[in-house]
Amino acid sequence: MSEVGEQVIQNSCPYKVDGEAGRFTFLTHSILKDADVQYNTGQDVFSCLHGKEYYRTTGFKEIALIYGDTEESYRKTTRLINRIRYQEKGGTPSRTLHEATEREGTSLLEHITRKSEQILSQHGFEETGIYQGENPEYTQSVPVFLDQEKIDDALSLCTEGCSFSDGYIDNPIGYEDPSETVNIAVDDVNVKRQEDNRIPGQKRTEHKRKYAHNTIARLSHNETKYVLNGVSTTSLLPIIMSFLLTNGLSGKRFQFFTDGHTVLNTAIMNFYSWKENMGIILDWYHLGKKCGELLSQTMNGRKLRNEVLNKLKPLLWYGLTDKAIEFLREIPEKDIKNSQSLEKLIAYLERNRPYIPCYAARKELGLCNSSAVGEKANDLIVSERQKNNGMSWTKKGTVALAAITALAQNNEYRKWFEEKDIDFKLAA
Amino acid sequence: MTGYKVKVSVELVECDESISGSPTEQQDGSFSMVISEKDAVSIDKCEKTILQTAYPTIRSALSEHLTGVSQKKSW
Repeated sequence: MSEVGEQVIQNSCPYKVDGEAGRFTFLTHSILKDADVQYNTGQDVFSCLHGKEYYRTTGFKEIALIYGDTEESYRKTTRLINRIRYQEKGGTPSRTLHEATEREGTSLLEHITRKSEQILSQHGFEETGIYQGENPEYTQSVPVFLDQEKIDDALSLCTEGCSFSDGYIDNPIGYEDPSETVNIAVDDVNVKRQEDNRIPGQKRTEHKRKYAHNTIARLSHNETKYVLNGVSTTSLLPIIMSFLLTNGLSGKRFQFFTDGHTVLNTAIMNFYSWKENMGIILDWYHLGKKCGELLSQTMNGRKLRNEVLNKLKPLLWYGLTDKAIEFLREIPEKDIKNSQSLEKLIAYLERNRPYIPCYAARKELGLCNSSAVGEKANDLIVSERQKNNGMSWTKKGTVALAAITALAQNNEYRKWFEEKDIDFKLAA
Repeated sequence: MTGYKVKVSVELVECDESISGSPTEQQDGSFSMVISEKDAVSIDKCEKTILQTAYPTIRSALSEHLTGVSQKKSW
């Protein structure tokens, strides 16, 4: 309210809103005293806007971002929202929506990073997620496995249908207790990258295809789940750790499922070097896929390739990596087209030996064998929207859009749009 | 008669009524919803409330109008 000696004036720039109801403006006012602005409703009542900025309402964001550009292209989304709002002229341009979405996603990722750093620091972790304290809750975590009796039952069931000797019983990879375990599927997704600078008239060189990188992690525990994304594994691991801490899961077993990528496995093992109760399992789908691909390059013809694959896969299904390698080494030379590929496959199995369990027994025990749910998360968060014909993305753009998609998947968008915060909790 | 005039008027007026969580139909067929003074300053809340109230009004107006048209055509 203005007082004596104060003057109320109308601000020269109208306040601009992009809402679910359409784009509109309204006038804001200032109180002046001796030519000084004492109060400005454009800043003190409504959110302060800069330059040509529009205030985007939560309703607009829900429709344009959650139901819009995370599903369809920016162009299609703007056409749809402008049509719904009967504002095909003077509505939201697609480039503006594109930039607004990127800003929202970037701001969300920054918020998650800050939140994660705070959580880590509160629990005595370094910002990087490494624990150097002495809290026994974190340092003295002994692996928790299922009862030996249950495991023996499962192994005997395996023996019934198995033609191999019982080498798989000695597989050193334990059988985690699902109720005491958080399953974490981590995978990288690459999308075609846009040139950073497009020089007019310059022809594109096709020999070196560039990719923009996304890392997706899907965490699940007792029927609840959460999806996190980031630019790289190294940037995502501290966030995963902070998420586990804030959900009171730090004492559980961390069971990672990966595609066997060395960089990914090394990053995980280094990061959790302080935690004993954790493990990595090479996802069965990727193991089979890799064997198939490398055997196609190795063998003389499809028939031979399939014969070898049909003998190799059962060995790996029972976690008999040594026998699988032995079997590969015994392939007659006349059947081999490319011995380098065979060596590659052997090296891959050697490298991943510590992560190849007895999948058969795990299946009997009802344990997870595959990162299929993680792969599905990749599709939902990145591939379905970003891997279409002719699409290419900037590094920032792909991760920002994936962050908004993950926000929708985690059903956190209302809180984020309204309060600029997220629950960061596992949900059904 | 040569046509139909569509008249829409949305009003936000101060009142002393108790706050309602959803649009309620009035005796004259219009819909209204009461929000708090705090929500009346929020762009998001105002937009949401207006849209939430407008759509039942639009549906009701369409329904009433088309019933009338049908009745008229059947005479």
